[in-house]
Amino acid sequence: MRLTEIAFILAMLALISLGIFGAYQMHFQTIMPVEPFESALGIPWRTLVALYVFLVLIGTAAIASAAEILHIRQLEVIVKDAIVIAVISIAVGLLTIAVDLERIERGAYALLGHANPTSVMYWMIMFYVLEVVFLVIEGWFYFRADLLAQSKQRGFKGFLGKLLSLKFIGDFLLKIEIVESQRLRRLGKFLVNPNRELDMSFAMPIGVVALITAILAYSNLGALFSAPYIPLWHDATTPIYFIISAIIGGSAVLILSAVITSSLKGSSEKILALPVLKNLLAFTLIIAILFNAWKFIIVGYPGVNQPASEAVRNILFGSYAFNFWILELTVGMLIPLFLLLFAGNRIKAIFISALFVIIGLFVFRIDFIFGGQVGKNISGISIPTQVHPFEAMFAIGALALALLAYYLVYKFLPMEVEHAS
Amino acid sequence: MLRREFLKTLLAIPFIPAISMPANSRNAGSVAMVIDVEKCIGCGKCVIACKTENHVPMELPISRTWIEGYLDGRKIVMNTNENPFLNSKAKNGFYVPKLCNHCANAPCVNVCPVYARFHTKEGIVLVDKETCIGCKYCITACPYGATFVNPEEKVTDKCTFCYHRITKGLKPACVLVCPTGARKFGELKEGSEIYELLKNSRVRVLKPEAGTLPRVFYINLDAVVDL
Repeated sequence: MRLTEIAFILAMLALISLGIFGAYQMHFQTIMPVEPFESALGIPWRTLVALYVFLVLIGTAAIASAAEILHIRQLEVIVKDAIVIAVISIAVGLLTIAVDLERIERGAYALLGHANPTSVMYWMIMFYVLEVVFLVIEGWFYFRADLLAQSKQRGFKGFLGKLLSLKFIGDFLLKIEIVESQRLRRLGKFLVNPNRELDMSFAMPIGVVALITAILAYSNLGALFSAPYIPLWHDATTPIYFIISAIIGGSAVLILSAVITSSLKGSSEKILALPVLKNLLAFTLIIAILFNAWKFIIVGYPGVNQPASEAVRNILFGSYAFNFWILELTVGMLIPLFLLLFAGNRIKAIFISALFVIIGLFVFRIDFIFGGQVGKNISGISIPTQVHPFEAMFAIGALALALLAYYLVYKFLPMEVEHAS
Repeated sequence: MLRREFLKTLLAIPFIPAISMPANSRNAGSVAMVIDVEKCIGCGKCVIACKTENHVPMELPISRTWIEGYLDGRKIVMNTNENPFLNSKAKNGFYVPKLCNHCANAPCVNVCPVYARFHTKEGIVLVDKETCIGCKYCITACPYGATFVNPEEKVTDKCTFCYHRITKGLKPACVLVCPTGARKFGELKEGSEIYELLKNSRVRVLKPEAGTLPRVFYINLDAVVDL
């Protein structure tokens, strides 16, 4: 293991520890000292909700499934990355929202045994959990042949190959004599022998289901916010916008991962995906800019809905103006779009565009969550913009956890393109 | 065959979660509260009595009921045991006591992912504190800002019309201590005090445009004031 890798792991572990400390403090301190929310103390949804939205709207799942279903050859080289990133980002996202619960220990029990199907939030959690399940199954078929190849290696990698490919179950079924069932024997043979064609015939329909679930999850999250309780969020187009936003986040993260892993590994196969990802990002950015412009014009139109136009005014000209005009619009949308449209296929330009898009998206999530709740504040009291230190600590820890998980997957699983081909 | 069965099983996953659906009698109900804004003097006894009766931390600005004072056009809120109205030199103003409106069409009941909010047979909206997971969607959804996280119990909390008292035939604490009788509570049946008040007064509810059908009614509240 190289020194830089050790330093990276230690740094990530330190940040994760910081996150654990933040989460612990959040649950053992009194409520965050943010501005009052009518009878309550502090606005109810804050940094962790924004981070959750950011993470679960990294829509690489949809891109992976679409690439697989539509046979987009240029994107097939990044399908494995897309699946892994989707699983990690959604899992860390769900962890984030679980930490945001006041009674974290009741979450799973309550949702499984006492669920309210009229609640959008129930479906949001259900769709994302299902998406993770489908992605894991889809990914398993996608990785299986390579995992079986890896199982022949010695050491931890070989062990992991056997474990994750379920080869050990296949070996067991074929060895024991008491198993006379033809079905189990067939299953055993299937588990020990790689058969990419058969695997893909399984992966394809699961990919369709995963894609539908992903679209439902993204748009359902939009529906959760666009319910008519918060004026700025109340808009029937929000679910559609969240799908676009997920594709923007997904393609930007895939560009970053393709460029970084290619440069670290010294291979160039994944770079082949960049032109398609670049076009996808540019196209969805144009739609997002139009969406944003029309949303602010319609929602904030004077004399239509006073709380909504106040919230829009606050974002455009008030305490969120810097975030909106500079970070969200200029850094997050206009500069990347300019680079994507006019810098050709230069890798550096595409990389910077994707990085800027991610920064803009993160700021957008913060502004959307905090800024939306402004209208509910007691008039005359300053707008809640504070990010509480403990919440910030947890957010940093959660992002570090996602990075470390991705690194470990890359280190120990067959992520290389040559395996997939 | 193996593939087909596998895919069939996979498609069944979404239907696995056992969903229990407690009875949710949305529009049933027979009680209501009437608040006469002209009678409220902003003494804050209701806030203190409520916090004491329901064990809400006195010093924190969270409360099941609170008073909004509109003094010389400025809105001031009393939600602790300190009364900010006493130091006011305002010449004009009025006070609006607020609390959970126990809506017949309650957004908090609809959005709660775990059925921790429900209507009683009297139409009162209660919180099941053993089930609440503290997701705070109800706080976001409530148009009246009437719900909050209780920092000691770590679950959401709100007015219950003192359900533990009224089921024993007692009045809610805020109604009991109000020195001017600005708050009235009772059954909404023909001939009752509440019924007569509502029948013979200029009544309005807060944020009627939200379509929540509140059970808290206001008398003598200036409809022009933005609440």
